[in-house]
Amino acid sequence: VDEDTGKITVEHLHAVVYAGRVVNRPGAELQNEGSIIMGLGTALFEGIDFEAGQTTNANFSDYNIPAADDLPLITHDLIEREGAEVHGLGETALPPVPAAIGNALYSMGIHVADLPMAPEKVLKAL
Amino acid sequence: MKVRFTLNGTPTEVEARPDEMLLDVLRRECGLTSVRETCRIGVCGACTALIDGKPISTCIFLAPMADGTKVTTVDGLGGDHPVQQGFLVAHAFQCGYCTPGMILTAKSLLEENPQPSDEEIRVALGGNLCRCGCYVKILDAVKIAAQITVSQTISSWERR
Repeated sequence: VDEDTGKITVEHLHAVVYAGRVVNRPGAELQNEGSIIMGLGTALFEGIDFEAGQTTNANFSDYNIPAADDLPLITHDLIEREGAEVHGLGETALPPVPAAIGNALYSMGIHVADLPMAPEKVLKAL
Repeated sequence: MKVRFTLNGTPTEVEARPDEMLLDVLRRECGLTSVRETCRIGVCGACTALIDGKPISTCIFLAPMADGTKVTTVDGLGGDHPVQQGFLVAHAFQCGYCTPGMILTAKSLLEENPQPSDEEIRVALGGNLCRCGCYVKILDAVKIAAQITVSQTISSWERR
């Protein structure tokens, strides 16, 4: 955490997903990696602003999503079980990402309870 | 007005308004739907085409400015270009919407810098957004493409 600006730098995200039986390994890996990246966006950048019932940031000029340049180290495990059925794992790894980053902040004594954990909110919580 | 350029190796003449963007002309007049309209403000990179080899957001590039240039879209790469092979081997897409732009930007990067570092690839692709978040495999794809390009160069030297 940059204490002057409130900007968070995530160094490493690791997700463990129970996958039952993996049929299409590259596809399953893509889902996990994509979930982590989308979760990173939810956690740090992506917030929809409203004014008089209309969204005021409906384009990428002021709604930021993760790009190749924003990524931490990303690793993940697909846990398989002998005899397990085939089941979906789409976006399984997504919701825990903001919680994990929020908990990491909390462990440093910084409590930000709403998303995205934008620098101005972090700065206020410092 | 008439705009003339070389499109994927073929001399092309199209009818365009002077205030129109190249994106619309490529889609409407040339039928090239691999050039994708998304943000319209030059941020997302889905509308990328190569103008004289440089990646350009065609959604903010006036069509008349393409006059006399060489325009390359992913359709002009023939399907077995090293970058396309790299994307295929690495499974570097889910929905595929950003893929043409990613491939063209990567092609331009590798022509300028045949052996880029991870950091250089990330920076070069920073202007191409992928909502599925396939970046991990896209970075792999570009590295594979770089290897394929090097081995093709070596074998073409050996054939001489």
